[in-house]
Order: sequence, then C-alpha cells, then structure tokens
Amino acid sequence: MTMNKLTFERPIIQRINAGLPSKYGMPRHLEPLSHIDGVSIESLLQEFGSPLFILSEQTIRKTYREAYRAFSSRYPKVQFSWSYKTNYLNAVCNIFHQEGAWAEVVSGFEFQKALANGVPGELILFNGPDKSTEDLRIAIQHQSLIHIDHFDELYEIIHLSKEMEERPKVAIRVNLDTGIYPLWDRFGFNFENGEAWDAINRIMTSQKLDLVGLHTHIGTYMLSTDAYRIAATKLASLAVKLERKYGHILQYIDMGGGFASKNTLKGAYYPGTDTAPSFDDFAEAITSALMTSDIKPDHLPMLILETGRALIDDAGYLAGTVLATKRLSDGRRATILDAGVNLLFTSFWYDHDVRPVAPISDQSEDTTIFGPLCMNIDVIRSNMMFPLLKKGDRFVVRRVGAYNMTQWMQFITFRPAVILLDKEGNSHVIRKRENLETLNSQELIPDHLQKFDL
Amino acid sequence: MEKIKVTVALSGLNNIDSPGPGVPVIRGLKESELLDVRIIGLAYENLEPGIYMHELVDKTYKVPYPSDGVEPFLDRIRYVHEQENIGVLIPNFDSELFTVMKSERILKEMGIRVFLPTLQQFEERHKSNLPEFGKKYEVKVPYSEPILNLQDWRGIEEKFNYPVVVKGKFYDAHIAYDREQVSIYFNKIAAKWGLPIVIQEFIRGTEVNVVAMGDGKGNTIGAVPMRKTYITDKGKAWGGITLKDSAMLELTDRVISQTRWRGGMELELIRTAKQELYLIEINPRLPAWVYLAVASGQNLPEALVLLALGQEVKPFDEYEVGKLFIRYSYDMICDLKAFEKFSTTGEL
Amino acid sequence: MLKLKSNVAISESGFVFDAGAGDSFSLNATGLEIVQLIQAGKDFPEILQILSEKYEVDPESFERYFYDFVATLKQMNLIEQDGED
Repeated sequence: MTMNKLTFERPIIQRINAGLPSKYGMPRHLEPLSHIDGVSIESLLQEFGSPLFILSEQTIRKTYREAYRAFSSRYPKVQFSWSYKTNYLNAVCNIFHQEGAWAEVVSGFEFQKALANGVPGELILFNGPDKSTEDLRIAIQHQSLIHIDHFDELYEIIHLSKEMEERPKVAIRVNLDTGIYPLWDRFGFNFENGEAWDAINRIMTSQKLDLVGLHTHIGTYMLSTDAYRIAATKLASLAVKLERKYGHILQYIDMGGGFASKNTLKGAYYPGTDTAPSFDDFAEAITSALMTSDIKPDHLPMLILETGRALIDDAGYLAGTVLATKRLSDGRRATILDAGVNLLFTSFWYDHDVRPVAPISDQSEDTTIFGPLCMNIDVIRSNMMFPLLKKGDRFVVRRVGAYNMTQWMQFITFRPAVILLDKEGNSHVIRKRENLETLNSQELIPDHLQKFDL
Repeated sequence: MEKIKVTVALSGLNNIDSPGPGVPVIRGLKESELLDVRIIGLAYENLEPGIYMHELVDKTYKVPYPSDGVEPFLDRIRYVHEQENIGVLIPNFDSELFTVMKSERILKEMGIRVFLPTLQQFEERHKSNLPEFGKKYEVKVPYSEPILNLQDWRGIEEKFNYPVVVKGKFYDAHIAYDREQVSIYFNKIAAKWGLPIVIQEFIRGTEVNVVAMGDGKGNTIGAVPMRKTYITDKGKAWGGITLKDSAMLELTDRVISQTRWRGGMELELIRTAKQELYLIEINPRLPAWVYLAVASGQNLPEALVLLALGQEVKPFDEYEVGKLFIRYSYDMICDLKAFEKFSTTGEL
Repeated sequence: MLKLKSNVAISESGFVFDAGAGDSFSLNATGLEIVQLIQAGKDFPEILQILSEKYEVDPESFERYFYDFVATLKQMNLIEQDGED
C-alpha cells in the first residue's frame, strides 16, 4: 500500500519582533507568477534561454487602447506619438504604429529608426537638445515636426530654411512651473520669465518657419495630475495670445509624457499600484484645462501625447534563473539572480516586483536580491520579503517594459533575447540573444596585436 | 432611548509614550449614551498595549501595513468582517488614511462605513501643499518647501533662516539649527516615512491645537481648543488644558466650512507674540488627546460613529474651559500566553 | 549531537521562548517537527528518515534545508554550541 505523502515545506524559524515597528506587519504571501498571457514562463526559458525579456503584445494593445479611449472620449482631436527612447525595438514601435501612433524621437539615430520602420517623415516629432545640423537638414527635408529646444537651434533652423529654401514645420518646447519639484527647466524655453513668448515672436517675425505647435514635457514619473492641468492651462494661454497677436492658429498642443506607471518608486511609502493615477485621471486634468481655456472651440488644437512608460511598462517581464542563495554576515538571506542592473537599469529607482515562477513556499524572509555582476552595486532589491528559492528555480520581474530594453548595458555578459507573445500566445524572437560574434564583429585588432605567446 | 448596537473596528492601539489615538477614541465610544459598541482592535505590532486591554478592546486582529498596498489590507479586513461583522471602521493613523479612502467604495459594498475626508481634502492639506492651502483658504502658514534630497536643500537654503523645522510626510518633526542637523533629520525621517521631506520656516510662539469634526457639508460638529502645558522630549503632549479662544474657533470654522471637511481633524497652530495664528499642520484624523474633548463635553468619537452610520448629529455648542489632562504611563502585567497567541495566530 | 539550550521552551503552537535571553520566535509546522525531534535526541539520519516517510522531499534537498535551518537556530542562540560539529 502506498501512502500519499504530504507536501514538504522548508523549516523556518523567525524572531518575533517585540516593540520597534518593523516594515512588515502580517507576513505576506508572495503569489508566484507562472504564466504570461497563458504561456508558461518555464517553457519560454527552456526554449529561449535564461534570462529572457518577454513582452505581451496583448497588454501593449490593451493599454494603448485604454489610454486612447481616456483622451479621445474627452477631447475631439487626440494623437499619440510613440516615444522611441522608452522602447525602440522595431517590433514594439510597429505595434504602436499599427495602433495609430506617430513617432517621437530625440536623436538622429531614433529618427532614422522611425523612417526605416516606415513612419512618414511628416508624422515624426523630433524632440530634445540632440539634433545635429545634418539631423535638422534631414528632418526639414522630410517635413518632420521639429520641436525647438533653445535659441541656438531656432537660429540654425532659420538659417537652414534660407539655405534649403524650405519652410520647416516647428513647435517650441516650453518649460513651466507647475508647482512640482524638480522643475525641468533645462529643456525648452521658460514660460514664466517670458522666454517662450519671446521665441514665439521671433519665429513669427522671421516668417521663415511654420509654427505648428507648442510642446511641453513637465517631468517623469508624475503622480500628480494637477501639474498637467496647470501646464495645459499655461500652454493654452500662449496659444490664445498667439492668435490674438498674429491671427495664427496652432495645429497642435503636445503635452509630452511622464505619466507614472504602476511601479513603486524607491522611498515611496505606498506601492505604485495604489498611487499611480489612471489614464482617465490624466486625461481629465489635461482635457478639461484645454476645453475651459480661452481657445475658441473651433480652433481647438490637436492634443498630442507622448507618454511612453505608462504605455509599455506593464507589458514587459524579465524572467530568469536563481544562481545561488546564501546568507549574509548579519544573517539576512541573499538570492543571486542571473539578471542584474545590467539588464534592469530601472532597479536604481524602482522597488521592482520580483516573483517566483513556481509555488515554492508560503514562508518568506527578509532577502536581498542580487544580480550576477561582480559589482557591489548590482542589487535588484535591497530588502524584500521573498521566499527562499534554490539554485535553478525561476523568477520573473514584472513591469520592466519601459527603458530597460534601451538603457541596458552590455557588460560582463551578453544581452538576452527579447521575445514577443502575440495575441494567440505564439512567441516571436524580436531581438536575438547576443553572442561572441555579435560583439566581436564590431571590434578590430591591429596587426601587431594579432598574435601572442604565453 | 435604546442604544444603537454597533461593532467598531479601529487602529492606533499603541498607547505608548508617543501614543496613537485608538485607546482614547475607544474610551469616548465606551462612555457613549447613544451607542453600545463592540470594539475590534486592528494592530500592526505584537506589543501594542491596546491588544491586551481586554476591558476596552473585545478582540484584536493583526493587519498588514498600508505600505503593502490596498489589496492585502482589504483581504484582511474582509476576513475580520466575516468574523465580526464590522459596522464602522476608524483608521487612526495618517498612513492608513490613503489606503482606506481608496477602498471606501468596496468597504461600503461590504457593509462597512467610514467617515473620512475626501481624497482631495486629504491631498490638499499635505504638509508639502500647505503654502497653497494657506493661499487658497486665506490662512497664515509658515513658508515651506518639499525636498527630495540634500542637494535640493543646498539650492533653497538661502530662502530660510535657521532654525528650520524638518518634517516627515506622515509623522516626525525636528527643529534643525544648521545644515548638519537638517541632513541628520532628513536621513532619519526619510528612512522611516519616505519622501518628500518638508522644510518649514520655524515660527516662534506657543503651540496651540484644536480637535474638531466636520460633517462634510461645511458645518463644524464640534471643536475644542487646547494648549499643551507640558511637552515630552518627543514633542508629544504630557499635559494640556482646554482654552476659551474665539480666534482659534473662528479659524477652525473657516477651514471646515471652506474645505467642507468631512471627519475628524486636528489643527496644529502657533500663536506668535503678536497674537497671530499660524497653521502648521492639519492632521486628518482625531488626535491622541481627543479624550480631553470627550471629558469637556464633546464626545467627538461618538459623533464620528453616528455620522458614519448616517445619523443626524446636532453640533456641540459648548465645552468646559480649563479642563486639564495629564498623561501617565502604567505598567500592565500580561501573560506570555496572550503574547504567544497574538504573535503566532494574529488574533487575540 | 544537536542539543537545544535548556532554557528554551517550545509550545505546540510553534512559539519558542528563550527564557535566558527573553527572546521569542515562531516556527512553521515543519520547523516545529524538526525542533521536537532534536529535542527528543534524534540525529540527522533519524530525522531524515522520519520526515521523508511523511513528506514528499528528496534527501538531498532535505539535507540542505535541514542544515540551513540548524545554522539559523545556532545564529539565534537556541542550540548548545559545544559537543557538536
């Protein structure tokens, strides 16, 4: 007769904290995450190797449609523009373009990427301080929407317009005080000190440029929707002033991005899932400010949004394998993963949501989660309640879709493959895992260094 | 008249040297002539004294910290509700309010009532928003700015004169006399309560406080002004006395009527030598010294529960002036079994 | 031979009280079983046998968990430091 054996749980003893409030009230069970869109993470790791970035097409489209609905149900003309720097894998960009988003780029490289993806030049917004003369020339040729960052650029574009006998389409980037801190005054022209109005006047009097829009981008990871209301109100006042003085009607107001995702910022008391405003909240703040402004109803400009993080963060996962567990000198647990800050740049400012893939144990302990690099700063979470996994167990980090696949480092090891799960749950490699050849192909060895004897 | 039977779940049972408002609120409720309450304690730590005060607290459950998020909190409340059928929930900690406000609709569906400020009222009175608040409601406030790191402080330092007050998002305030001390308190407070840290102009004068209750329609249900007669080294009142002060009451009425404040509140004010009142802080809940209000004729905890239940509450129009409270500590003797039970099962 | 300190009391609920230090701890169910077996004077092979008959666990994993657990008990000063290793 065989007896059904009970499931074994690792033996654990924990000190009962009497007195001083610890960070942890009730021991909290960390739910494992075994599947993404119905596909087993374990099987993906087996097929594509570990670590592995996984993107959910379904989540990207759903999030995009949700954001679009929030704005378009409140405002007559809404246009999203995909922020390339947030994630410029071509497959990702094309999902957004299929959904109807234009491209928002901040360098010549990104501009070329957008063009190569097939985005018509006139639907590319060219932002940021990094535009070389050559970049500007190409942008002017393509009738792209150039968002001017500073006076040097403004004069250069006026110069180019004469030289090329073209009429560049431009907007100015405005920085303004929305009551939030820090004030992003390093980009664009300041509103409060009159610099933005100055820039507008110079564009209008030059008669060489076509002023099509106003742009602002008030910050990143914004938790306050009120700041957007203030910003929209101020931009609207500029638009009104412009129409009054020159009879010129703007085609668009670009409110930039910076909407918070549901990640939890380091140092935040509440989790991001509780504090991040919804698209409806942001949309309400921005659109109500525009609708109640003095802009004439039939002159309402198109509202452009460039939000990146909030559209893609939730769709990205980083899965991998536990390399080892150990105990630190003070008795705390340490778990070492095969993915570190080289792949998860955002762990410098987020307390990332790390989960086991398989149900391991209901018990969790105060654990430090390290990456694989031989560097002290390679810490994914400095302390979190986490079950003790063993070598070979799988983990997954949620909400890593924004910035990690553009800011990652090729350091010590190769960058992993990125796969996309389509709506049917089929997996597609959208960026191959790097190998020695990938990296060596960029290197050259002078003749006298070709050989050595040891 | 027959008393209304109601089960009230509340937190803040940490009746220690820097006490939470739980136990004083319970005393008010137990003394009510209109309510017959069963008290369910919600505790975070194994040694919160209220857990072991069985004459005041009928049963206590351990709950997860608000920093864990709304979901784990609601899961636990759902469980407690199944056992106890909670009628009214009173969160007594600032750090809980956001979580409970976010859950208000779900709690209501479960049959649990709360009587709290709205999210907008809550956000608007945040320490970091105080200057705006002052402007909007025409109340004098000290100059203050939020900072996220110490470099920020270097940048704005010249706008202030030392000493300055370094304040946490929810709790803690220290007077810093130089940059060194700002940095010490910044790190200390940030490690516990997160960012931002608020740097506030130090207003010289006497600290006076008001405990009050708004009905959410702009009416003041009750208000009792008090001056701390002795303050512990943690800045908490050791003793206090009720005051007759029409300026303080007027200010309270103005804040409540303009913000249409809903729920309990504590105004922290400084009265300068010129007899000007500065608003230092609005705590969006009843303070630990609320029992002084009960004893001087305004049972504000009772009013809070009645309002939560949707009852009409007639505003209190008087209180006894010159009533004194003196806080004392008392060594309760407990059985290790009780500690064992609460620390292993989370219920007692 | 592993031996719990004499002033350590363990209750059925998994509550551990070190009367010498005044510290208290809590054990999960498996932890409690193991501590009780240690208290009863069982050594590792015996404990392994008893638990692997009852639970779904391979000896290799159990060994790791066991020694990790014992290391924690030592760190918490619940085990006599002499007469073993």
